[in-house]
Amino acid sequence: MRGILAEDQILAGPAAARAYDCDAYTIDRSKPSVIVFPNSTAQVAEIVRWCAANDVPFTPRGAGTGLSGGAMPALGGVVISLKRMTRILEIDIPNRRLRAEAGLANTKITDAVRERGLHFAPDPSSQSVSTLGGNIAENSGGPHTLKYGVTAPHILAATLVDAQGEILELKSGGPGPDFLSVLVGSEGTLGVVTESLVNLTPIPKHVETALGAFATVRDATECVATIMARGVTPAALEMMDRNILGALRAAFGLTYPDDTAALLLIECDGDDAAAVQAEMAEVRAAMETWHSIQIQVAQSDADRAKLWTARKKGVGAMGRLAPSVVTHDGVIPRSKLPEMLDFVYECAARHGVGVANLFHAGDGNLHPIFYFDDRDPGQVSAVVAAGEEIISKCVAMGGSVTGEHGVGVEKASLLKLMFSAEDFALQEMVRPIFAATTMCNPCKVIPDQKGCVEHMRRWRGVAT
Amino acid sequence: MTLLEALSAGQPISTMPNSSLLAPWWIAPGGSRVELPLEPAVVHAADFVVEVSASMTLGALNEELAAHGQVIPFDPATSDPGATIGEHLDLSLPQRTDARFGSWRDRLLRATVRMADGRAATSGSLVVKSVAGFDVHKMLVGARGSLAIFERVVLRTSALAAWQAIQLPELPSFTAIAVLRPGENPPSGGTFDAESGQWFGAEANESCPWFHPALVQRPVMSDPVQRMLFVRAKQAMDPHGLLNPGAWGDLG
Repeated sequence: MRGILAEDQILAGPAAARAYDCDAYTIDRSKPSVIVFPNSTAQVAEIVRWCAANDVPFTPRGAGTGLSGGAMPALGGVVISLKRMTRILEIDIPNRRLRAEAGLANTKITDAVRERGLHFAPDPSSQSVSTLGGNIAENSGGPHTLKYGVTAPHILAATLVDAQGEILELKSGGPGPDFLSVLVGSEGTLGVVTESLVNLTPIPKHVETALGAFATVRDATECVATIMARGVTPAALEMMDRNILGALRAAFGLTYPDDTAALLLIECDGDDAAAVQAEMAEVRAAMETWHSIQIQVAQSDADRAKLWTARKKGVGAMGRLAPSVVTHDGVIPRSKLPEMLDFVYECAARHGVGVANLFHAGDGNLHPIFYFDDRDPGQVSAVVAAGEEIISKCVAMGGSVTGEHGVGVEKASLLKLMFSAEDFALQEMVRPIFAATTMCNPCKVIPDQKGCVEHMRRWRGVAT
Repeated sequence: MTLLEALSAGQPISTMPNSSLLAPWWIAPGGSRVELPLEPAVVHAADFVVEVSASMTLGALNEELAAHGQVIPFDPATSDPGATIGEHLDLSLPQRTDARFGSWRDRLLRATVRMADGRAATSGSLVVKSVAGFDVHKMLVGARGSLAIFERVVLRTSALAAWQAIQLPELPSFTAIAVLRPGENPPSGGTFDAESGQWFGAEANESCPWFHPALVQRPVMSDPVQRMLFVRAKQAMDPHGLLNPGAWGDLG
């Protein structure tokens, strides 16, 4: 690496290896040999070519906020951090496009164009730090995915350093198969995305935000199903349960009506004020139908920010409940939300672990958050078992093992719940298209990869 | 002959539409036209998704969906109710409804495809949001059935009332479809530029949403990276050239 990079672009040693042995999914860990910080696509290509020539595994990494172990260096080797590639290369306001390097934080894109009435629509909860490249790798979603879609439809082009070190520019649109659409969400297994041209979305002129409190989780979930079945598509439809509210009270002193079991945060937006108000009227009617005990509607931007507080600070507040949290991610058909939430509580109780729920209800995208002590192997095992049971239930209901956190190492085995050997055979055909080898972010997405199974036991352990 | 029978016998097949308005968008492939399975559609009305055979026509599907107040939105300039869902997915023509309702690629949530070796495989999920595995089904949209054949798909539906509220102006011809964004200039006017192989339509205005120039339809793939990846894909997925051979000209 010293032949390719400057000394201050290379990090090694026990402390560095410990810092980069996992992402925000902390259950499984594996130490890299070295972490490198290239500052250009050309440097990334040189690093990858060296890895390919020497049969050394490499793992791309953004901010390390991933929640499924996608940036964990499963077989060691080189971690390629994109955090020094943060330049905005081009802003094209008339055509609503922006080109940036992959290490740029998501919110920096919007910061650059907000004054022109535009924004980058994908808004994962980690958006203040998670990178454009990370969002592309994971096909990230967020609260406003319900209306604006996940990351994929907002990516117009990407510069890819493939697994052999060749630099390719992939574009969306036009006739023929769309290879960009399979690159987005491939979790860094097809190469390293170093730059991207993204679509900018006009900031809506009118926004209505409401926070509804419900005395039972069942009422709240039934309300969600009713809203969606009426054909209303809010910009965001988020749910938080009693345990989240308890954490918010402990961490920030936030209070809600005493008998609140669940909150629904619902936002409608658009350029036509009357249409937005009509949507919100439908939402309010549904909340009243399902016995909402309190409905607060934002009267100003300050009000709106206040209503969003519970959603924005909920996960952070969980630290008040236990030393460790694991946020799961599964999807079900939206109509089955009431039944599924009942199951989540029953399952957690049966395994003796605490669970709170804060999730994208409008998409049917659950995020059960287990809180526990990762120094206790028994609790770690219980959390893993409960999580796998919940994800299995999602699939049994016709859903998916992951809605936005990705497969990573966390769910590679669980993918077998959804897909057959033939299905995996189809997916395996993707790698040769990109000249990708199993050394490119190994052991991710596809289960039972050669050389990975024997390493799995090594990854898993308790905090030390 | 069915698709599976033909592939089992190692015979090249074609899924190019026989007579629909989509046919002119194809380069005629060399294989024999085959029958695709047709099963009843399953409408999951409360979740706004539908499971449907790729051989069902868009018109027939929308008749079923209308009973639930739902629709697969389409632009009459680039869609044909008489053409099948699979034919629309194979071409993935841009529609003026895309900006509001999403493209064919956005709409496709899951696909069960017949691979060139005769096996069936599925990619995607029944739910509106999933990042489980590689999105192979999205990659196949627009591939003219040259990498795998759509047999059964899950599509996101939209509220019928919202689509009916959209008014699309008539375009001069079926192929004059590429509408440019404000601030973008086409390299030439008219409806078809033989030199570049591109079709162009009217300029965008308030009543006529735009398309990105990258969405302008061409009879062939012009991007060299896309062509290179397609050749590799063809080698990986259809090494014997059985699926719509020649549908991309000399690329296979």
